[in-house]
Amino acid sequence: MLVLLLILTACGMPRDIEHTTEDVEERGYIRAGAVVRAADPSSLDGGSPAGYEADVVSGYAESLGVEVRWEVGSESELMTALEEGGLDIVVGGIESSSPWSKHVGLSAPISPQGTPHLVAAVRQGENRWLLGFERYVGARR
Amino acid sequence: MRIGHIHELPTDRQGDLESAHRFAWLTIAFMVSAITVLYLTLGSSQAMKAAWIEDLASLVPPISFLVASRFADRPPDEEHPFGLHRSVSIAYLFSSVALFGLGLFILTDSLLKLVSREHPTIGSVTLFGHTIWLGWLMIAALGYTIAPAVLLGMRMLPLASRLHDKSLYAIAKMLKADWSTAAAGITGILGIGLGLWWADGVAAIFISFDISRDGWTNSRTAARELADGQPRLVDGSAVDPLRSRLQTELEKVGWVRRAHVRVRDEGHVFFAEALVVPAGKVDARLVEQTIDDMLTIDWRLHQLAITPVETIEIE
Repeated sequence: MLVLLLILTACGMPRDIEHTTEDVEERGYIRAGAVVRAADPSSLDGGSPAGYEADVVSGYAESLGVEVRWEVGSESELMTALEEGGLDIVVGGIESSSPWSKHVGLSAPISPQGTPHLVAAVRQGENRWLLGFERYVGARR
Repeated sequence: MRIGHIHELPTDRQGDLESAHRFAWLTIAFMVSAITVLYLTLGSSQAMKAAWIEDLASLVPPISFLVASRFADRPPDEEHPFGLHRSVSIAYLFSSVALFGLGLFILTDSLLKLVSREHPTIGSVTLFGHTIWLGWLMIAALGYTIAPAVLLGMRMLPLASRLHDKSLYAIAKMLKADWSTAAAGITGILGIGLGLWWADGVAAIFISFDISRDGWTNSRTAARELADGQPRLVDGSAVDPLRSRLQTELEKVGWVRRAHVRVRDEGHVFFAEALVVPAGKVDARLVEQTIDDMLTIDWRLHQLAITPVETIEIE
């Protein structure tokens, strides 16, 4: 059983339904969304997102050898774009109990242990992309 | 003529009933473990959800079997002059309808998800420092449910025949068929792994269709039994030969010229009534003797009433 699973994993399973991982590698950058929070203007550092969640995404991009291109907006704008495939990942105060979970895939917690559980959102069904991200987060934590 | 507390089962089958009880408890224990394991790995796979609901629904038949068999052998009383044999059929109908309802629910749910082209997202878990895809754990959990279910089902099937218990038969069949649920679930997860968004939904539809079909056939059998339909063999494959056998045996009796027998299935046991055209004058002692003789031809024949009549006209 275990051997079989190892073989399957080696064959590149799980794959993405809409090929996000391959697209990002080909494109050379991650299309990331950062939710602007009115209560926390410090999260924008001279126009580009800063803070722990932004660092995780940048770090992940680095591990893949690609860049990050940020798009800043409201949660509903960014989530809709993510759902339609216009973005690859969204961060910024998203909780694992987010009502968006019916429309997007939510990752394992990305915030440091002991802090409120913040997660990243990816497009639904992009399981390879999600697994890769979670592996990176796991190694980082 | 003795009426009152007569045990349903002959002493040589009492042991079978005890084994059936043990297996019912084992089934419940196994199902609870399967439900827990599947719940822990549920994720957002619809096929897993369907398999989980199937296991949840599978708890109802063994529980209602155990509950019903507490009542079935109770002695008749003022309120229940025929005893409580039918509690078996009521439990059977109840669990079949539950199965059917759950099947339909999950079938609709799966169809809606497929139509709205929902893409199942399955993340990862960290086990012993390794982050692995949750899909692999789901497959392992489904795989775990196969062997015990099939083994339990295979052991319970012969008991169901020996006890003439249709609900036990349905449980055994359901357990034996459990491997196809697990196989469908595993195929669905592998499909997701290959990036096929529809694989999960199709597997879920397959599973839920199976649950509904089981529920539907069993509800029909149970309803037919409660409506005093012609008793059938425990697997439902044919009419039970007891009625024609009883009629033949009765017509062999000296004082009987003609007989017409009707049999009711009361769960584990049969109640029969016979219209009899006597060859001469009716001797009450002979009638009672005949009843006693007839009750020995099959343990499932629990009570027999003989009504002597002048003619029998079947319209």
